[in-house]
Amino acid sequence: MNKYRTLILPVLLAAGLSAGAPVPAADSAHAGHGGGASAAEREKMWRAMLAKAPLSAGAAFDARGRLWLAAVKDGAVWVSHSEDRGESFSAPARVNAGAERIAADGENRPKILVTADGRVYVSWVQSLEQPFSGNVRFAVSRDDGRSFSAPLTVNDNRDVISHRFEALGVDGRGRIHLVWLDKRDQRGGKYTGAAIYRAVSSDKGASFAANEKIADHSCECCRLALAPDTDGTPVIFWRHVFGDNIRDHALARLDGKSPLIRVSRDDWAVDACPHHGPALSIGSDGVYHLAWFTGAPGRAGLYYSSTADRGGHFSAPMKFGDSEAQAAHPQVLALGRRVWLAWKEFDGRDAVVRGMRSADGGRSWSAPVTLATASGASDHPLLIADGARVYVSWFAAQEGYRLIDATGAMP
Amino acid sequence: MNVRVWLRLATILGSFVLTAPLAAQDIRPFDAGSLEKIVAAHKSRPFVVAFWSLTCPPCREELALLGDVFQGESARDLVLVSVDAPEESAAIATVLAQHRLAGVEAWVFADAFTERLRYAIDRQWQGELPRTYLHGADGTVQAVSGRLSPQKLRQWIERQTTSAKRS
Repeated sequence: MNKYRTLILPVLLAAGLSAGAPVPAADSAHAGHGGGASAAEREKMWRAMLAKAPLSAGAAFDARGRLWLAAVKDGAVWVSHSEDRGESFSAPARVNAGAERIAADGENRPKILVTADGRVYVSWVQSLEQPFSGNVRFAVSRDDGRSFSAPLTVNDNRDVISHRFEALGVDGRGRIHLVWLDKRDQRGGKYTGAAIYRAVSSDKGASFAANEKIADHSCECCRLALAPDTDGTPVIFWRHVFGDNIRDHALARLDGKSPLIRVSRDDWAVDACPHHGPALSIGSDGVYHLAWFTGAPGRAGLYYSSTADRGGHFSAPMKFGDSEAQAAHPQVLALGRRVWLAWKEFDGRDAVVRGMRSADGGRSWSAPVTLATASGASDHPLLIADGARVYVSWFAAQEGYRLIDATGAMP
Repeated sequence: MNVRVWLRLATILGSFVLTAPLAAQDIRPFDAGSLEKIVAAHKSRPFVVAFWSLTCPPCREELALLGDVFQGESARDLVLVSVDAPEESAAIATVLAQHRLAGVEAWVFADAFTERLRYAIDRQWQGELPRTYLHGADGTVQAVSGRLSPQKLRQWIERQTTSAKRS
């Protein structure tokens, strides 16, 4: 491995430190989960949370093949890019001027998306002082990531409740979509799970329209997956709560008329937080590729399925990964008929990113291969593509940031 | 459900063995060897190990149940392990106190490499929370994913109490 790659995380962290972000004194609005804790305790926790450098970062390629990262440090999102596939990075630019507590915990992470006309969109969740509360935040750079607009809070409900687990996408008309899990409909009463809300910006991120509800009763702590359909319409895939407590998966095409479609029939009845969201990729042939985790007794593990008719019919779910090795956090990515899966396992000593590839639209698959290992804590792996090749983007505490060529490993 | 009977059963469960009073709340660092130590220290009587997190709403509901049931002497038969981080110990202690669990044996994951910890705890556990282990007096262990229902806990306590009477 090129030694510079292992330096990326330290470089990001050092940049965050040298920027000398001011820490607000005893700002109770950022104090975190300690409802009832003393002001001194809250202050201590706030500082401790800010000092953490979470491993969960966002990554994406732009149309020119540059790799962009959005990482969290010192209460800010920092954006940098690489012109050489992660060998070296630009000096990170600070997105939010004021320090915030930013959710970066595997299921929550900053999202970054660079449009063909060069705008850099960033979204994240700002954690608030009550447990499980947060706001969806958004900023845009119009100068190639050198500076960012003042962040917007996108949720128009400002109660100190959950507006979290956001997904970011751009449709075929260039409109920005933010979709997230929202507890506003609970209103102190009995409400199963969370609702899914969306906000759309039609002015390239200067403002967002009123929030609209997409669905009731999603699972409340599994991230959403979002991918553009071939016509640009965003499609979302998430863990839903069917009936009282069945936490299986659902799909919806956000065209304002398509219904919620149940994808999985695992029948996982559990009153729990799996913290384990699904993955979605839509090929240029219009096939939806879906991957998810279930803990349903007797069939716990990772599954893949596809649909060629927008959810009319699904292929029989295929189990993948070694469920005896904690196979977890699946990613799927399609380039035409070629489809890649990647996920995380633990081999008894190291965390391992495993992958497999299909050349025929998900009908048949290669044997799994090991793409990378980490000897300490690590983020969920991400699959990203530059249009021609697929990569695993992965932060690990010991090994730093790595961009692994999945196409090379699984041609 | 007769709550008074149930609480009394919980008290009986707790009185199998009397030991020294519990120390004031300190949150102990949980590493890959901690579960073995917990089991060794508690195995003389039935006990419950519950894994939870500050970030998990159903965990709060389970803490409320455990706080109701494990009061008085039975409190010694409950072990709570937060999968958060040691720097969140103040928040963990606050939440435990809110659920009347301030004196209970409490641990926090002290290794950010959580896969390694879960591998040492239970290879079948995929990280969903809460995750609760009911350790019977006969050495059997029941794993429960998701919020433990009052019925399930009561049945388990009744079973432990019955087998304790028989022996």
